[in-house]
Amino acid sequence: MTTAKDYRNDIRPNWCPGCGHYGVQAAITDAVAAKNIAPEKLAVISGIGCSSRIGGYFYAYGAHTTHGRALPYAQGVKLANQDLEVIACSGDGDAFAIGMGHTIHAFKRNVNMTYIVMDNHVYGLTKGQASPRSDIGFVTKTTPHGAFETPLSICETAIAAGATFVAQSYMINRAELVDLIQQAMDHEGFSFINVFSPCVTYNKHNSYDWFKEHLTTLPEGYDPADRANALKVLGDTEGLVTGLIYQDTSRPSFEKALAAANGGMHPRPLTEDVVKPDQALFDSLCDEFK
Amino acid sequence: MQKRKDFIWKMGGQQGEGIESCGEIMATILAKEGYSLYSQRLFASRIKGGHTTFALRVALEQIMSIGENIDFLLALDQETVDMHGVEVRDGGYIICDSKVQPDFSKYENANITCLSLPISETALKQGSLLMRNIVALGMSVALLGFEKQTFRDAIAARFASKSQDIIDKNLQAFEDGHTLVMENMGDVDIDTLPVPGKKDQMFLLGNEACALGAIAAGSRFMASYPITPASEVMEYMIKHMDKLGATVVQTEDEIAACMTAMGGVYAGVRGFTCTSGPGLSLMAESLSMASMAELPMVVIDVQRSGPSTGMATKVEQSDIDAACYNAHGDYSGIVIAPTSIEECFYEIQKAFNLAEMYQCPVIFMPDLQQGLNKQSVPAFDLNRVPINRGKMMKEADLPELVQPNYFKRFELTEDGISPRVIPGMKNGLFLSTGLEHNEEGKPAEAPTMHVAQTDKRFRKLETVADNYEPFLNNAKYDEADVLVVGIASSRGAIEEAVAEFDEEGVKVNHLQLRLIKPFPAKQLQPFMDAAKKVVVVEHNKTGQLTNLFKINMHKKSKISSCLKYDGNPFTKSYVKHAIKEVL
Repeated sequence: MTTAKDYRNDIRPNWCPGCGHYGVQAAITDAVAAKNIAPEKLAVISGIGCSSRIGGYFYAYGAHTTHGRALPYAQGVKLANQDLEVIACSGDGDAFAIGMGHTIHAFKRNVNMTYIVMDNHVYGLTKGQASPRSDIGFVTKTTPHGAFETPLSICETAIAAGATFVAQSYMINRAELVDLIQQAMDHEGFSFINVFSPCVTYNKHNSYDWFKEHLTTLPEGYDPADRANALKVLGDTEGLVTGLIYQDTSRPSFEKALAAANGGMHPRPLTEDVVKPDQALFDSLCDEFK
Repeated sequence: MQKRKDFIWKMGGQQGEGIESCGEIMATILAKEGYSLYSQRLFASRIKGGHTTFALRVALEQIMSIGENIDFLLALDQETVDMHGVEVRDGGYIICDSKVQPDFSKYENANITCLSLPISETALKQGSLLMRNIVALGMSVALLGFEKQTFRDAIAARFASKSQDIIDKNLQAFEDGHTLVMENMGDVDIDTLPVPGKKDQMFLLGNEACALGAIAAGSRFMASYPITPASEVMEYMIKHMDKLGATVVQTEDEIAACMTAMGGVYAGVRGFTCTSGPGLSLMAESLSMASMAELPMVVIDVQRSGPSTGMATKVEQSDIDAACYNAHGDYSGIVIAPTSIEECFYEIQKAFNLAEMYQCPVIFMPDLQQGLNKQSVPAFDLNRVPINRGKMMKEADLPELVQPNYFKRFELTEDGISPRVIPGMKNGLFLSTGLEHNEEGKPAEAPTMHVAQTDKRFRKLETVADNYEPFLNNAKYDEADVLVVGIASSRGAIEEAVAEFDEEGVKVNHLQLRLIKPFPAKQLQPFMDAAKKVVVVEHNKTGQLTNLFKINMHKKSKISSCLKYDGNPFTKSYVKHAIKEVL
């Protein structure tokens, strides 16, 4: 069995004291330890931003890529080697601004991996600008008179785009978050968890107290398979709700669908297959041009 | 009577009239018979309507260009007569569908036989205008003096899945077309090509050759976004995905295509993507990361006319600058170009090898002329280019790693190339980042480390030109009047021009460059020294390849350019003219 210690390296995060991301890192660690994922089988892929430095903070295979592109990269990793546990991490700028095109398509593509977004409604690494999730009226260096664009309703968007696993959590609710990450890893398809993770330096508005005051939990007896109700609850709570909001277990993952399209042949880890094709197969391919 | 060495056949009309399929049937049969073929499709960027032509050059010896001066022009519309009649050689033929009541007045004084024949009417007699191309095929076979039976068999085979009635009607359309020409040609002796004897040949697009090459290189992983003139590579991979157990992802854009393939490469497969100029621009940032993270990523860029959307269906070689300089920062990468459709197959395998040997991005850049046109090539040899994965480590050979140490994936080695591990390997843990990093991949901004790692990323490329044949060497003179250098599809036109100079006693050496970056200055300099003048032949306005010569070579005053950027491929005459100017 692995324990949290097995995923610890000696790099000190560049996050500010009090940053919510520490809690997300701890929750991911607890979840992969609980799932007994060997460090060499874990690939944490991240984009660019404060939160995306997380790719380098686990003792595992970590890839810190380009801004907004963690998802295409992570999908490539997973499709090349399905034996790996692939977790992609981003911030709300990385995921919902520069990378939003990829995010939408990852929802609909449904590759079997987990995507954790640390949502603090602000840009931190570039020192305080508005994000697609900033509340109306939020004052930053780029919105000196208050943000006036509509904040993106990301969970509704995810469901509308065809996501098969949509969860939301608050990093303070460690037990809930650890449980959701484990469920996400178990889900056969693309699992999205939006995690509220306060920025203590550049967002004095959406503070720990603010989240405590505004967040609610899903009602008793809530059925995450009920799509219409999921959208209603998100609307009623203005998206400030935590838990497993929506799950569709009926849609096959991209890998399964691809295997079906491939005539039932389940693709093995392609990394084991970097060899010349069989001569007879190659000849048959060439014959088409003769 | 002297037998001809080749002939050029061209058919034109509106897109969607089956013009290409007529040429294809003819080509497939002739390739089997052992003729060397080169085809050229000219089309507009739309599906139906718009002027289109399909040209086929048939020869006894291997040819590398479409040539010039048409022997037989078949026109389904007046536009074809007007636009391409001028290309018909002295003594050649133009046949136009009588339905369009063709106006041949432009060619009254030329020594060209112009015939107006009922192509549409003959097709309609068999029940459908769709059979125009079969009527035209019958006419062509008559004009070229080929045996009918081979073509009759091919028509029957092509429509084998249809009813006997349809087969019979097509055969009749073929016969009627044949008869029309025989009855109207007058009393001429048809100067046909001798039969060369059967050869094991393939007739295919450069794009198809690229895809087959990637497969032969052991690649089973592609991510791509559709774009003219590159989509055929992805389509081919997807078509055969089942047999290969491959994974091909059509992504949301070219950034995702490049990053998805890079993710696969990081995980350990031979991933690649394929695009054209606009896509290459979008991939710039990703490739910069591949350079920093030392990922062996292969990008195929089938060059088309630019800038921007430019002329998406026309050839240009104007991505040379972009391939070399697109990515920001001190970018270390390799750029190579195939000199023929055959080389699309063999050189892309070397591109995959170079990527893994040097752990850097490789841009492989054929041009549209190669990508979208078919040529007959000797049947491909699966094993000519063995797979070389460079310093890829085996999991069993890795020394034990003690937490929290990482594997030195970016070890500062003497040759600049570090041992490579991939996720999943026990004792291989390392960090991968676009940030500057230390030997373990941990972010590191110390001035000495940035210098050391940057130097390493360039030091490793110093031997590329020693491990890769940097150009096709067609230089036969110790001292030459002119050294002519081209890349990609210009090879055929240059070779034909050089052959004529040989006969005229002008000493012209020819190199067709494969390695563009790192520029093989050391290997090129002796050829430059041995020539009085250097002419760089390239399809662009700004002399992008010429500039690389001027930056990297001594004796720059010898260098001049032969440029062409009208969207049409180089011809022998065009290249000859440019060389004559410097003599």
